[in-house]
Amino acid sequence: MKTRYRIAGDHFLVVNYGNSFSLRNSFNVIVLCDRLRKMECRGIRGISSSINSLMIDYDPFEIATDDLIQEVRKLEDETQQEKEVLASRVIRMPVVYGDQWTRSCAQEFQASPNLEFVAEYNKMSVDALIQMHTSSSYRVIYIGFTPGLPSFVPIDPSSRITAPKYKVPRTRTPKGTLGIGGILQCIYPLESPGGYQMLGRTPLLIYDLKRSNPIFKDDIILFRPGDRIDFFSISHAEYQAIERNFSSYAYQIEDEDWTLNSIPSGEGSADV
Amino acid sequence: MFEVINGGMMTTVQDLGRPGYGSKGIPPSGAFDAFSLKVGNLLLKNRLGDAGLEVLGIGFQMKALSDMGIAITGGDLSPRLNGQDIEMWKVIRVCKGDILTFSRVKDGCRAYVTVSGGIDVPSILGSKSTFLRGEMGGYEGRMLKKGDILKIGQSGISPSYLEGRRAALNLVRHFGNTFQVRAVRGLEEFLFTNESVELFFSTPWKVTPLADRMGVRYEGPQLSFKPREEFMDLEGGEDPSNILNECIPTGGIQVVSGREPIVLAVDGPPTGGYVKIGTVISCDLSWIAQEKTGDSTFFKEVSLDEAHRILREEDSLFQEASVVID
Repeated sequence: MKTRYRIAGDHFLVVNYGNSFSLRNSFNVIVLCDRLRKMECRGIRGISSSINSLMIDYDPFEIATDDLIQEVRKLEDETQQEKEVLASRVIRMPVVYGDQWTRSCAQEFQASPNLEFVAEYNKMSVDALIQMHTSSSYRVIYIGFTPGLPSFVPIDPSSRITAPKYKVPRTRTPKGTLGIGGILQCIYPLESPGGYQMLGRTPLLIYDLKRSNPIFKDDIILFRPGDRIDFFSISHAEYQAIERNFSSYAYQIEDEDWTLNSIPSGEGSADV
Repeated sequence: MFEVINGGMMTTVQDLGRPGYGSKGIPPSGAFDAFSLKVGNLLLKNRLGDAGLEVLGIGFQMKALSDMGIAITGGDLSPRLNGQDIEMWKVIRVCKGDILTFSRVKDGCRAYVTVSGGIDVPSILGSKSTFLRGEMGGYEGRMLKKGDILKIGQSGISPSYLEGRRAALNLVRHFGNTFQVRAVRGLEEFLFTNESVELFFSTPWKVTPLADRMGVRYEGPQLSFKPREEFMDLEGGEDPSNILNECIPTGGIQVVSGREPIVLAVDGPPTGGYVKIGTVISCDLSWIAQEKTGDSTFFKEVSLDEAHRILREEDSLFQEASVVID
């Protein structure tokens, strides 16, 4: 693995682990983020991450750029990825697949029903797609685009369906939409523009400034990089029941460690 | 306290933002023209990072519900008090019942209203800044509208004591229609041809109507890319400007399809899948904040060392020595 350090303006440093997607790269990015946060290095104001890289926001007058690179190098040398254990969680999310709201949204933007389109694109029936989607587990790679929006991929490479993004992005996507674009999937935390195909909708909030459910007591954002997501299928009636009693809904979350050796071997860009 | 009579085009509460939450998908927000907000606060003897109002374009009107010292900085939107023109970059004493209006865009496009004591709204993740897309911060997470009543922090300095303080010439900005903005190379300038990188840093770019706090888009010549490995098409996307999603620095210059560069600004997304040819240095985002449709911009390349020298120099301006007392 070759690490690249790239300057991004006068107070950002990007640490990049490669140009192609692999869960191993993402694991290493998340580990390094975690280590950097714990180190509490002088001058670091924030750390964010994406698929293969992380970005450090630093104060160049507290730590010189070259010194920061040295600090990160040192940390990388000390880190033995093979032995790292990330404290992570499994979060179960209910979804109405092919729901009425994303269906009418697709219609509004002159797109054919997205779930059917994605099934056809991957040469499978809608039922088979839903079956595969609910029996796979997903790993959250990073949070971004809008507040709290998780990007995730199936852990098992054989479950990696793909879908082209909208040619002209929608100006509106319903809150809670489950989307897919390329190999990445996401959940839209807020009503917002978007270009991913819409597979369904969850009634659960994943970003809640009003903290209307106790799960948001400590953080207004549900997901963290490294979390595992399992989906289960619900009906429109169940959706509405959860929505009505949202403040007392018990999120299904369990702690679970994530280690590098849990990533299927042979997993890498060739599988994508 | 003051009351909003007319919210205008877009008026939001902003301080210096909430950096460091990119990992949660939250951009820094804050005053787009942070330079002007800081000058206003300096004049009022506030903390430089106190919250003020960012007023875009015309229409905003407010009525003072108590006596206060204010300063108007940034773009010249013809500020008037009770119908009389008032000076910018200077402390103005406002009395209960006075009405402040902005009626015509003369220079730049964003004015900053700072008040003695700062604007008092709840702090979210360490900042009072409004982030509209996230419905976060500021006044109820939204732009101001008629009837809103805003509170002001305790200052302990009387408006009469502050009256007459104005910014020295090195803190007063005029904008005009041609801008020079400094930028460093990267993150992905190596994916462009060398000729295109040179062209980018030497040609004038015209501001399009697609400009807001998320980003400002420019028109100009087509830029081209070097041939690249096939896997980058497979994973990032077919277009040579597509890459696998990456973190975006504030000020990053994305060039979608080699056309129409976009400078990502204070409310820009923290991640994205397009190549970036350069990054505008942090203090020069303030100039971009004042650009209007049709204005032209030259991006001047600077080294990282030069960028740091410029930052240091600009930081040193914000002190009492830069205030003139009439």
